[in-house]
Order: sequence, then structure tokens, then C-alpha cells
Amino acid sequence: MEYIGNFNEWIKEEWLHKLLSEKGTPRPSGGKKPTSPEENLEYQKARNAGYSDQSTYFYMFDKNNFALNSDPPFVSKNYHWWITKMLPGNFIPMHVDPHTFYEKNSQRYWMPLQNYQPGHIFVYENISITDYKAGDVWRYKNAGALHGAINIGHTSRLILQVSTHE
Amino acid sequence: MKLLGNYKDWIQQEWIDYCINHTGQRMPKDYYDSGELDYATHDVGERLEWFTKWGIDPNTTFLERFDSSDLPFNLDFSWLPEKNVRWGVLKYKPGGYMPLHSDDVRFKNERRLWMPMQDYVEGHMVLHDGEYFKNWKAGDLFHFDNPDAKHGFANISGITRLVFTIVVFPDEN
Repeated sequence: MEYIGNFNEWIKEEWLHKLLSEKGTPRPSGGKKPTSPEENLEYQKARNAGYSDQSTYFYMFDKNNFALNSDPPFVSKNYHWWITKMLPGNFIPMHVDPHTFYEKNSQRYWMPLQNYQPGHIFVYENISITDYKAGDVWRYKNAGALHGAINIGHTSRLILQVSTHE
Repeated sequence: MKLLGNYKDWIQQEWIDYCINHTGQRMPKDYYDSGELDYATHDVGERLEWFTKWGIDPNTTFLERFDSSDLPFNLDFSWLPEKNVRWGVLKYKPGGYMPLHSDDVRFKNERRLWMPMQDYVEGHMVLHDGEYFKNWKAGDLFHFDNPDAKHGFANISGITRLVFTIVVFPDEN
């Protein structure tokens, strides 16, 4: 992971209130079904391990249920974003992001919306990122790398995910 | 968390196979269903209230546990110096976890130990006192040398995870 900088001032307080007070889309149970071969492969790997498409492992916000109002200050080209919300006990299994394999020159960015809380675990290529501040931004050195997260802490966890491409 | 040594040769493959292929006590669901809301009634368990107060559904299963009565094997822990040994095998299926918590001290001069039954797999997680542990080997024996340190476990890999949780104490309680 490559540290880009801190953009805490871009985060609006009302976002956190809305994200924490509203439920979000349960995933994978309430999300869109996989369409591309790359997505199908990731879902199948998860099913083979015992994970279920019908379960709720975390919650998601995107342009369909949340408005950022302004572009993230660390991106300058085509991008899409989503926010993952994990309640205590929520997780996303180790996986690769399917879209990074078919989008041209895909880059992935990771931005916590809160300061680090014990038990908020993110693992990227066998490295766990801790002690971060709200607004810190990292770029994956390899957009298609294996990563995953879980919240075994006592507070909800909010992360902005951004993906750019040409 | 201190590494005390490696005891891989002591671990038997049949123990692993049995635990993988059988269901243990579902935690916290089975205790919730039976009305035993306090894990403290069990030898090395934790208090359910520690988890429910953080919003975790007590009717869920975040890990399975095998005690001596759940296994058709006699496990001999006489290689440990203390006379009294309380142990369990904790099984974390993919998606399983133990929320961050600190332990009650139950016995005078107790030591809390932890031993993975498998080599480290990416997604098998141990968080202890803010530190993320990895790259352990099957049979590594760790001592939780600070009972106040918060710790938790998780498995977000595709492979079921088995660990021994052990409490030992001398014969002076």
C-alpha cells in the first residue's frame, strides 16, 4: 500500500451521521448479482469456502443511496466509489476486486472515514494497516491484490473505496 | 504475546480431521439457547454479555468449541508444567471470529496459552494488544502474558481454522 496523504477536511460530518444512522445495502444478500466472469469466479470461490450469497456480511453505500457531492481530491480521472460499513462482527472475506481485471489501468484507493479503532482489521497482501487517521488515503500497489477486512471491535467501521481507470 | 516453543509433533492429524468433520458447541448460540448466558460458567469461556453489549446477536455462531467431552480422544497435556489444565479446541469456519475482549483471571497464578493446529493462512487473524500476528506454525505455543491486553480472532479465509485455547494453573487454588 502506498500512502498518498490525508484528506480529512474533505470528509463532511453529516456524512458520518448519515452513514452510521442509515442501514445501507446489505451485502452480498441485497446487492447486484455477479455478471462478469471475473465476478462469477470470486463469488464461486467464496461459495466453495462456505460463504453464502444470501447472508449479510457488511453494508454498502454508493451513488444509489448516498451523495458525496464533490469528487475525492486525490483522483483526477474516471472513478467510481463505494463505502463499506461494518458493524461489530461484519466482514468481507479475502478476495480480489473483479473489476480491476477488466478496467484499463485500474487503481484502487482506500480511505478510512474514522480514526483507527482497535478491532477494525484490514489486510492487504498479508499486511494489516493500523493506527490510521480519518482521511488517510492509500493506493494499492497492485489493484488486483488479495485483501479482506473484519470488524471484531466495538464500534461501526466506515471505509471509502475508490477505483479509477482510463 | 510470547512464543514458548513448538509442539507440532504432539498434534495428531486425527484430531484435526475430527474437528473439521464434526460440529462443536456453537458459541454463543448453544449457550444462549440453553439459557447459559454467562460463559464464565465454562472453564475457559468468556462472558456473553461482553459481546452482546456491542450489538452482536447472541443467537448467532461465531465459532465452535470442542471440550474433552466432545472428542473421542484423550489428549495428554502432561508436558505442561502446571498440574491443572483447562482446554478447548476452537473452530473458526470461514467468517468465524471472536470479538475483541480481555480475559477474566479465574485461577490463582494461571497462564493463558494459545496454540494453532495449522500453519498460518492469510485471513486467519490474531489481534493482541493492538498487534496483528501472522506467520505462525502449527504447534507454536503462545502465552498471553498480559491478561488485560485486548485480543480477538477471526477467519476470513477459505479454510477452517483450529486452535487450542488453554488455561493452566498450579495446584494451589
